[in-house]
Amino acid sequence: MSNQAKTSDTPFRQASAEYNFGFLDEYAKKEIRRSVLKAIAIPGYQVPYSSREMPMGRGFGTGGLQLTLSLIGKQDTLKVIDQGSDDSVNAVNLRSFIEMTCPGIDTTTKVAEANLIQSRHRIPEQALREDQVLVLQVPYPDALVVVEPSEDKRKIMHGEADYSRLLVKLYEDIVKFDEITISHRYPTRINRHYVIDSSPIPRWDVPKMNDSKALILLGAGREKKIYAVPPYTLAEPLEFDDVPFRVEGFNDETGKRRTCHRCGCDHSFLDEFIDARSGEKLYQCSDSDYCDEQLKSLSVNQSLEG
Amino acid sequence: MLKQDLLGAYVNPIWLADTQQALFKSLMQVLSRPGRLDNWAEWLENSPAYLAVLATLLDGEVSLADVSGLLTESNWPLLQAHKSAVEQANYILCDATKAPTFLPKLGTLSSPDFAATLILKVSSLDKMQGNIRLKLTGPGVNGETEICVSGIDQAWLDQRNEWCSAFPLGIDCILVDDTQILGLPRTTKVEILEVRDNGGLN
Ligand SMILES: [Zn+2]
Repeated sequence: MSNQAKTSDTPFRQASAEYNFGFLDEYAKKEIRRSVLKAIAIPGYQVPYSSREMPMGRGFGTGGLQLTLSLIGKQDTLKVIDQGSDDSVNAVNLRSFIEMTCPGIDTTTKVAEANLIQSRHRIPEQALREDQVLVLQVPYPDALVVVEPSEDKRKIMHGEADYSRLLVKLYEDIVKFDEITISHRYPTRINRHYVIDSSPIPRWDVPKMNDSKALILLGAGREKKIYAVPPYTLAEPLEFDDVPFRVEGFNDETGKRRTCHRCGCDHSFLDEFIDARSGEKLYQCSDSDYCDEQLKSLSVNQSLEG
Repeated sequence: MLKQDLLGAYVNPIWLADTQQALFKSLMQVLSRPGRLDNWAEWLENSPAYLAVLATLLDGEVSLADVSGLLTESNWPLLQAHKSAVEQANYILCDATKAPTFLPKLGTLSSPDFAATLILKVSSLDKMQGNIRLKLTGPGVNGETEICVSGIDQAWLDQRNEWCSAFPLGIDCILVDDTQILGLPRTTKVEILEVRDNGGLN
């Protein structure tokens, strides 16, 4: 009895330390954690939460960051990716902020070593495992915003799984442009009910959400929403009988699959850029860790053969 | 083993931020993967698992109904949650041996997250042995899985299935025995395969 009475203000004391492990105070973390559990229980539903001010502008991944900070503990190994790269300014800034505010955690650039992965614009090429959690940063969480400006109305449409207007809009685009023009943020139906904005990932990554071994959490800081695609759950991109969903193609004019100029990979999502010296178009794996791993196994094989 | 807080006072680990982070990750996994059993024994010292669930999730922003009187008065100030009638509660703690006699919040079509989360205390959770053998399918389950529960009134399962029959409305359940945790989100299809008097102990 006396023990409990003495310590009833413990959470206050912990929260008032100069800055708390994970930057957020324990109350902010608890609110986000409760929202995460709701998001898992209602797959694809955007759970509102009171997004906190972070010491970086919204739009710099604060939704994903708040999720990561609420989940992470000293035993975790974190990977932060931006557009497939661990070395871009955004990824480096986010990673150093998390390292600074979460002393004791490990960070890595290797997918295989991470159990917590925060990403913007890509899902790693290497299939994720059950013990991994993927956190995606989302700028605009609601797929219905293109057809309905009122959030109250959108919430009812989502609840009723009424996506007829979204489907019409999608179909009109297809008729007009003879192609599914949404290359990113492809509307994807979760567990046959809610349609989510899949975050700005290429169509290439959308099928990775289906029947995923890893839990996928999505966070929109500015819009103050958290949603989830649980593991082993249906995630189906919207499509039509006469216009099936398809991922980006990487064939050249002759119909041959382009390969990564660096590692030779013929089955990854490729970024196109112009070689500064030759002016030539080059293609390279967008997922830099995957490219490194392919390159490594290539050199191992070559040395074995040699 | 008691741990110390920053000012050196001894605290049961379930009230410490580090423990709550670890327990939350476990809760997140069991609710993501219905049928998975996590054992919290190393975190609990003498605390019941249901108290650790509440300590991990609650604060002054949410309400709690202790339907069967499982909590002591001294638990409430630590949990910080305000007491609420069961029909309005965000979180509901129940002894599952007694059949439910209330209607929890099921959420609304626009805001299904307004639904209650139920923490049900049962006597045992096991992959093989127990009075009621359940088949689980749905999001988070790779194909199908089974779990055995003892110390739960069968009316709970019928009632739970009825409450969860109109997705996205429904309730989310966390089942606990002394040290183990099982998640049953509203999306899980729960079928009773077998009811056994001897708990399958032959
Ligand atoms: Zn490559």
